[in-house]
Amino acid sequence: MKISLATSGGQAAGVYLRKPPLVLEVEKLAAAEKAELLRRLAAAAAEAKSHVAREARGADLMSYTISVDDGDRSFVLKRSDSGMQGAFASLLDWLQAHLSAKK
Amino acid sequence: MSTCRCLNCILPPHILRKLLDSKNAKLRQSALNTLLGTARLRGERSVRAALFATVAPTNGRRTIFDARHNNDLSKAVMVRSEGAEPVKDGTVNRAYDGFGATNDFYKKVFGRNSIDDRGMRLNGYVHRGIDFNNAFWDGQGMVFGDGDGEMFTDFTLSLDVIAHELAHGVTEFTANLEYHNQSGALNESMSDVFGSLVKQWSAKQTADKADWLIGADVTTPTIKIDALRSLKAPGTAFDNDILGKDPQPDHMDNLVSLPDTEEGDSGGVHINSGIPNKAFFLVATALGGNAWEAAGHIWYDSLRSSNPKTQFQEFADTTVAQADKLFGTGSAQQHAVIEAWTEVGLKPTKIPSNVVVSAVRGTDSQGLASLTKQIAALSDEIEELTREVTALRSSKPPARAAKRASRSK
Repeated sequence: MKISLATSGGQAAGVYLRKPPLVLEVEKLAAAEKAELLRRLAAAAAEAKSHVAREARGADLMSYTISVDDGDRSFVLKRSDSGMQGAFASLLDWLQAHLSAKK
Repeated sequence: MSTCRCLNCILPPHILRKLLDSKNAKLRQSALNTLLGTARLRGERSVRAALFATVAPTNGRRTIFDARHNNDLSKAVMVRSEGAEPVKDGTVNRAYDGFGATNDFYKKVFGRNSIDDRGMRLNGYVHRGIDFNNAFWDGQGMVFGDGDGEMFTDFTLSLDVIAHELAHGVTEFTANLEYHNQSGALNESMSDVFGSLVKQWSAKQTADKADWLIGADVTTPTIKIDALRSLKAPGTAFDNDILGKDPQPDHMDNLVSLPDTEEGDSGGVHINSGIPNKAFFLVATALGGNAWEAAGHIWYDSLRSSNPKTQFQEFADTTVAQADKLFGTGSAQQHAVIEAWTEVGLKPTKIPSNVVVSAVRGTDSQGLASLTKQIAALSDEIEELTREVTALRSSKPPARAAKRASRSK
């Protein structure tokens, strides 16, 4: 399974236009990390089914696209800073922390 | 039972909200923490909106929250409220001081009472997320990231960034420019303009001494870029292998076409803002002195006269009209506005018939300043001649004619 995180918008939008997504190979994670990631991913996916995107209010907001590619199954989760809470926020927290630690 | 323990017991929300206005900082802190705890349980945004909407206007009372590296702001805790002493966390103090400087600017320069001109509270959230290379206005408050240490650092380090975000609030409560395509790029430009003005005003800098950069202090030595954006020279803030080249245009010929999607920066709102940014820079430097005086007032009054769908051309025409209202038809200020917009490819469509427009693409700002001064001098001479003719027609001799007459005796 591969998970990629793409960001766009924000004050540095001009920069993010060209930045490629960050990619995580799930199979390379330690067992505990993988379990935690999949738990958060499942929660975010379930939340997405009932999530109603609010009309974005504000400015310089960023948007986050989490793409999951698992062989013949794939799906995309997307959220903007204006709706950042719940399971998606929790998944984003984990991905950002892990991708930051990898540097 | 101590007061603090009572606040954490069952107290109705209306009493907690009353305590938010208490002069006692500890009581305010406890009340806010309790209400925010409720917000976490019930869901973040709707409660925050209700909470801050029902609180009485407060002349821009500042409250800073620590998001503790969460993306979900309902997990934030209040760390400094209005009047409280500085804390150990420099990020918190910078946000607090930046809000104060920005609020003072609007009050003293434009007579504006906080973002909404009704004393709206200024709420800031710091340490948002992890490696968050951004700051934003979420409709109720300002949110700041710490940066990833490679591309960017703490976004509270630049006063112009703090003021940029607050200016989005001002725009929301005035023209409410729709955040996409040209109106969105104008929205962004207003924030860059007023962000830069707050910085210049705080430093008592004249237009020629200002750096006209946004975010110069949030860059890192690793990335080696000047800033996020340059009002003086859009398209030159950065150019390297990691970030690529600054894509901002400085002329309508180079307007960037991007899809009106999140990935397309909502039609390039942070990109095409370079054009009105350059226009403001040209006006401010042509007139000289403090940019917040003439140029700033023209822009502020134009913002207040605009509407959610205002496009670049309409805004340019509005600035000409506002310059006329503030400084008079054919004034040096109005000339500078007309020349500036013409130079960026947006020649105003409603120019008074007695105003001469001569700027061509590539005119440098010195040539523009000189031309503006010449026109101002000509206008003064015409005014004086008109006075003399009027005086001649009446019985009283004019002062200059009387002096000539006495010299020739």
